[in-house]
Amino acid sequence: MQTAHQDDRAREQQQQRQQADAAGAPQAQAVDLATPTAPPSARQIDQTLSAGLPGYAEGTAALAQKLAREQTSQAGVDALAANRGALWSDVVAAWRAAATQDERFVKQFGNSDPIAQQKFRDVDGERYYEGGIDAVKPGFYGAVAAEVQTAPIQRDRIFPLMQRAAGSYKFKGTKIPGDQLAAMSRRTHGVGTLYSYALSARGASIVDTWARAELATAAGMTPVEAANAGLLPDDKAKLEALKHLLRTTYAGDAKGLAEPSASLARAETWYSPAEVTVRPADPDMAFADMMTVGALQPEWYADGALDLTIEPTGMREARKPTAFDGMMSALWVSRNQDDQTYGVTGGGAREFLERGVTWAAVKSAVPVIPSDTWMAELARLNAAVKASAPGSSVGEELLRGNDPGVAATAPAYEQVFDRSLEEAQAPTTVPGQSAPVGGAAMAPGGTFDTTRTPAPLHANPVLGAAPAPAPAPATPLPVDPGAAASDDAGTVAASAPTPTTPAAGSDAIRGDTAAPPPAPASTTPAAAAVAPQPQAPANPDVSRHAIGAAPGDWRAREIAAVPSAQVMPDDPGHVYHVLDDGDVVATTTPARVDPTAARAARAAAPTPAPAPTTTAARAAPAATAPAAPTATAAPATSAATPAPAPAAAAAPAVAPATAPSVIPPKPTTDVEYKALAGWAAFSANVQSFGLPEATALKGWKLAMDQLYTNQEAYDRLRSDPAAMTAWVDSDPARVGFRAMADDLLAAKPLDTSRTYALWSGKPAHEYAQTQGHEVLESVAIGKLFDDVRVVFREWNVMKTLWRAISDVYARKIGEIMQGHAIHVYQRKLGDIFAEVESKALAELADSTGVPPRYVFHPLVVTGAFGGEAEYEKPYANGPWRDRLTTAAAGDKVRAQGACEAVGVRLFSYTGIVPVGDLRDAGATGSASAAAAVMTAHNQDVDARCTRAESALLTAAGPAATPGTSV
Amino acid sequence: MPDQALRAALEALDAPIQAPSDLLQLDLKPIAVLDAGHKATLVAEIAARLGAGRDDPRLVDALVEIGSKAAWQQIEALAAAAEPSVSSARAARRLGVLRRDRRAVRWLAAALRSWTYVVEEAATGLYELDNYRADEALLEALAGRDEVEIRRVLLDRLFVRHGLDAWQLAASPVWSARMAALSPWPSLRAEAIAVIGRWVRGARGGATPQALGVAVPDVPPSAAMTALLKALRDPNATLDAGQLAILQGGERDWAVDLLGKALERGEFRAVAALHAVGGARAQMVLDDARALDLPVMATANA
Repeated sequence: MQTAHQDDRAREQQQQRQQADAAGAPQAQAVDLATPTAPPSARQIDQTLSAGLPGYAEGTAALAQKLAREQTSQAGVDALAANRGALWSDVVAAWRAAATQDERFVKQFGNSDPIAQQKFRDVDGERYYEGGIDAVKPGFYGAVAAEVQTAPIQRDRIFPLMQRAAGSYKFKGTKIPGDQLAAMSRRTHGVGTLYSYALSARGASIVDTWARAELATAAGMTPVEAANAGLLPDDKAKLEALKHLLRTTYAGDAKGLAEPSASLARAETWYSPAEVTVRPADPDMAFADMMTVGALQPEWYADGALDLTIEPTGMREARKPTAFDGMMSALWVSRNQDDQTYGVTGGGAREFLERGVTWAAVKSAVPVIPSDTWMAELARLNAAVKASAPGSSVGEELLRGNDPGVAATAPAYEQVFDRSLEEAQAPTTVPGQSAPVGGAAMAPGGTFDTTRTPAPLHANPVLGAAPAPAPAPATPLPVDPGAAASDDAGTVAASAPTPTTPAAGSDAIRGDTAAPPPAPASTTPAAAAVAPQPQAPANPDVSRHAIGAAPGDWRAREIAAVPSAQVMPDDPGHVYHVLDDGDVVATTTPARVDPTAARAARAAAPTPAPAPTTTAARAAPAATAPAAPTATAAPATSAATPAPAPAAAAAPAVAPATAPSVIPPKPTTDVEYKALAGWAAFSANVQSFGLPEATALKGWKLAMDQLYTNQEAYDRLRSDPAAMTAWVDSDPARVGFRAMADDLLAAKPLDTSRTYALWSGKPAHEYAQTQGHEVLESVAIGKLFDDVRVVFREWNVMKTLWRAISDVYARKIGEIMQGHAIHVYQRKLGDIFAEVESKALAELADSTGVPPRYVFHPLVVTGAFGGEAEYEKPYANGPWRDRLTTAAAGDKVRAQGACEAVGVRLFSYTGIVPVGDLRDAGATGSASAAAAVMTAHNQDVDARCTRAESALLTAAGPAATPGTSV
Repeated sequence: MPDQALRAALEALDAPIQAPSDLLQLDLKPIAVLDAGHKATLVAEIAARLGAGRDDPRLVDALVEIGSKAAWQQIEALAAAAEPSVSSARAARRLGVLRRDRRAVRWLAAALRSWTYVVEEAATGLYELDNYRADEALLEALAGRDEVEIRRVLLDRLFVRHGLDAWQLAASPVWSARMAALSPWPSLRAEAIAVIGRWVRGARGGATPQALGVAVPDVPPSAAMTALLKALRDPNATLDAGQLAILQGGERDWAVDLLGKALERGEFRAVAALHAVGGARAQMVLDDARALDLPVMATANA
């Protein structure tokens, strides 16, 4: 069908050309003979030619001048304009001649191709071409110009011509002496290339056998039966078989499949020094990382890649890359740095070119095969670009601002582009070596210039260089102007997929029908975050914060009133009435409001609300309020500092309210200190250690004074990061807590005959105690605040308290355990150990200069994860329980049975795991090693859960599959 | 009046912090069992708290536990806040890890310019995201921040992410780089941070510790080094120049770092000792100390 269609179209075009020739030429001749008129001016000619070939102004102007000089008739001009092929040829020839130099012509012609713009600069700045770049530039540009003249070409896609013309100028960079080369090198090798050029006979046989088996299995036959039936795998099936083998049998090393005598490349190719191994990670992310380091375009490796570690032997022929070698890739970044042996990739890795390396020198070939989704997408993208922009590539089109339909692989493109752009815009430098000559490699308007229009897609460097503008909206690939006007078969409309999909990862959010709320602009950090989801009230007279009927006597008890919009912007049109007991009623229709609105109303009430003053109210006390010191003023001066004038309407969005914190004025007498919430429990705790109340009161006053101070500092400094950092880590922020802790430790010292441990993730602290260690929670200092509900609730302020206490404890045990390893029991990663205690110990070690010694104990539970909650996904028991229960159509017993069949015990632990079920998975000397142990355990449980889910879904049949209707 | 379930969830939101572990998460069980209607109410309650200026990352995890569209919208809006807070960094962290939101690195990188607690949260998020851009953000902040507390946080995340913490052994390149990166000496610091950057990028590319040159045996200090360690613990002890001069390899670097710390503390004896150790690193510390106009250097010059 398609062939017939194309034949028809070709015939039509041929007929059109013949008709044009027949109509045009004789007519021109007739006119010339019959009515000799003045030939058109150059301007008139240019207008005609430009209409026939828009977008080539410099060329049509040059040709117009030439035709005018030759006194060509209007008919002749018209005839030429009607013959697109001839017009193109003449325009380019005239342009090239007028430019007088091929370099000038090519640079003019290609000035709308950002990649060419960059390459022009790379060539101009080249310093390592053997014999000098100037001698070869005329030849190079001459070759490009000749190719431009050969056939119609889009001006904004001249780069492929430059790539072809560069062929004979490659591998001419400065020679790198063998003794300067690293013994080991690495290279990224395509799986497709291995399949096509380097499989050994044995490797080919293995692949063929597997492919035959696959084919036979799909057909329900034995391989022999399938072969007899003529079912033989084609190259595509064999390549798929190879990929399967690389993911399974040869996942560790694929070099056994290659022919040792086969060359790694047909000519010279790219290497980096250093021995590398591929990280075991998410295959897509590993693939993206691999592309990034080498600044490789992901679509080149649509069938996956191999990470080769190579140890060449014998004489080596290696050279520094030049701009001509760099024509291989749009992402190549030039690096003029004389004292470097190597070049540098856009990913920041060192690179060089070498010839004559065979697979015999390969030490290992580790496959990095992305997911099928990614590979399918890369193949689709390649096909789309091949159809619509022949000669170009996916990466080039994205860099030009055209989107061939990148979706799942967007993170890879973004990562590769971002890193290369950073390297081009702000090159990395090596101490002790000179900065690259000429600074950044970026050409204005070129590949790496993110300020140009259209901007490159999926390129937003976040570091170093100036932030890039938002990517231009996805645009379809332009139609090749060289193609016949009627020939639209190859345009993107027909072949390219849909425009860019939303960012990976945010799909679930953006996939909702409603757009997410715009981020509110605000100078208050947390206030900037939120806009309560508006829900239109059924009755506009009823506050959206109404939660119940107003008390019958509410009018008589009213002590203040506030317009609702002033305190709850999401609830305009009402009045909030503050009652004598602190309750708040909204009108028009009287109704009690929820605690949030009530707090806000009380805080903004023009007369003191009956409830104790909140932080917000302290910030804006009523004029009639007693002149109590405010917590927002420094303690030393607060008593003398007049309260600021009341804010007319302290809108919650900007008020530093610490809902529902209720902080009274700072006490000044023992009685007032004891009146603060929490004193009774604190005092009881201290006395339970055998210490007198006086010790408790002293500690209490120290702690409370420090909390008041820190609350004030937090309110005052939160918008000044440097000042806040200076404060939090300073003595004044801790001195009170430290004094309290030191006093307690002096009165109730830690037992130096005991060993002390740190922990993270409950109940690791209990486990540590079963191993004979003390932990913070088991000693007096850790029990001080048990059941103590202080008035301070601000997370950042309370963190200063516990950070200081943990610091004191960690330092103390650091001293006690000096010369011994400190044991750390970890049920989960991070947690208090990472965020608080290890910091204190690190400070201690840093101050002495002697590295600390830890013994980490990763604690695992057989068949269960360390995490429980949603935020700990994917390794979380709760979400997996839900998922498995869903797979069992709600039957928890069946879900539990399926789990137990594969050794999963999630249903046995719905709360904190009994300490007896914790298992020490093996002591290690570092947090990273312990993390690896826990991650491996979690991955194993995850795999088992997946198997249980599959079993449940298979047993239940399609009707129970989530997402299908039952 | 809210019913019992909602009341319990609301109480969980505002529960007091009575232990370090209370800083980590709220009691999420009462939230997990709420029905959809109550969850919607709770989202509004959390939004109101955040809107009122409460900076509490645990509220973000409560929103994650709720998991509704509205909850995630709040998280997204919080992550995009103009001014970073601990909560906004937590929001970006959760979006990046749980929803693979590509903007997370950018938000977290911006948060690294904020104050200590925000940096701690953001650095942990970047550690969890575990990609090269996250590494680069941490490295850039490491090079750009002056506060030693901040640099320590960034170093710890980078080291644990790439297994460098396992090689923090006495006289090892990693320990020396750590000491130098946390030192006040600009030249030494810059060099160390560049080295750490190379390790991180190499490790990200899959280089083994051996290939990176960080894998060294854990050997006890030499007699000369032991003498130096002992002498440094006693401010009145004399530092033996002869012993210092015979230090070799990693111990020589370690000695420079230790003496640099002594110089930082204003110990005059460190100046002569650094001269005795000699070499480019020692000279770098002395030059930096001179450039910083440390009083101890004025004494030494006098």
